[in-house]
Amino acid sequence: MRRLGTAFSLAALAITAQADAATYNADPLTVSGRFEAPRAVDGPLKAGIRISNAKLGVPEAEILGATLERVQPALKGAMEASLRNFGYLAGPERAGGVDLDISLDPFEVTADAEGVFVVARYRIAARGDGAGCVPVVAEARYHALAQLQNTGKQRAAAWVAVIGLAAVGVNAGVFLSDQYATARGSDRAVNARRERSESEGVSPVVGQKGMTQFAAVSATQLAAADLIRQLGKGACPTQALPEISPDQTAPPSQAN
Amino acid sequence: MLRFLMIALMAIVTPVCAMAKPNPIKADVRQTLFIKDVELTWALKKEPKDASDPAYVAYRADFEPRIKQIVADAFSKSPAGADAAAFRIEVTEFSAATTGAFMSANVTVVRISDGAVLGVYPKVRAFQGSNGGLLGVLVQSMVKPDVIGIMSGNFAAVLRGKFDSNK
Repeated sequence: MRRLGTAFSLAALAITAQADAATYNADPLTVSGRFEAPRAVDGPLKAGIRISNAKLGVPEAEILGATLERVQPALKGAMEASLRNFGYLAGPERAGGVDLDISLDPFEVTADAEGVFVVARYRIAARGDGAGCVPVVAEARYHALAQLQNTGKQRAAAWVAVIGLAAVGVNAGVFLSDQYATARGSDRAVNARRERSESEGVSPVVGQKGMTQFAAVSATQLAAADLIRQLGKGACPTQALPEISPDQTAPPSQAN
Repeated sequence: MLRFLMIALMAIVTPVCAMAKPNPIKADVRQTLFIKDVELTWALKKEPKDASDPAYVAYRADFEPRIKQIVADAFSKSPAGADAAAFRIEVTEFSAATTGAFMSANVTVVRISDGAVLGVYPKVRAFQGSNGGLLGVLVQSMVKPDVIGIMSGNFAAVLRGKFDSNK
């Protein structure tokens, strides 16, 4: 029995160590080509932006599901990947350009009857050539919907069978866990049928903490998408226009 | 009974096969992609005997849109690159009944911009079946779980594992 306990402890330790060592997956925070946003056009921002710093607080890192030491580099990596996907990230050979310090505000979390809303907001400080073309705030809101669970009869039938078997001295633990796995699979299948949009989706995790994490990750990704979209709106001239002499401004019919 | 044995065998064989094959798409290429489309074609090695059975037809009709949706969802956040890619799922084996479902498919990853085939994941298999013995089969036939939805979810998870593998 003691040997079994030691084995479980070692397994738990190994899993914990593995989880700590694993890098935080930046993909869910990254704006992929899936998002509708214009690519960088010729101008000071095209292949001209670097991320100097990306900061967030310890509570925000925890909401995003890991320690600050793991989330902060992922946040920087995600923003760099997002900028690269749309043609804004400066290559190593690029001289000049714009340096950005980005920081993530504390999340605004609001629970409602269907799930939870999270607002994510990036504050952006830019310096260098074209700094004036960069927005100072990018934000987004995401609504995570709680999972539906409609397979109560599967769980109920399993328990009835387990109690019946226990009465005749049979341990049906494996059977019960199998039926619960089927029930969880059914829940996922039901939730996969639900409609979703860019700013709303069903949380893949059950429970308030998991749902908030899903909403926070999604809102942070959308806030980065908001930044990319603002960059594409062209607050600055997108390219140097040739000078036009006064006689070139007249319409062609008048010029003749 | 034969179907039950087949499912039990698949449960043993699938993880072993998953470990044996190297990933045909390197990590740096995978990171440049995002999955835009999921397409499905049928290339059954053998047409089932009950192909014209209304229940089987209904399972197939239910299966097509749902597996596309479930796979698309499983890859909606990752990879997060700039190049649009498509999964072409070629179903080679498919069976479904109240007591369980099984499928095997070859999945080809295609870059949409130039149609280049980036890699093929052969024999991606998934199933849904109770391993709770005869009692499990009995409960399953009473409760009638969503076998297509569960199998599709399992398929997406297996494909995710193969796609993310760095071996």
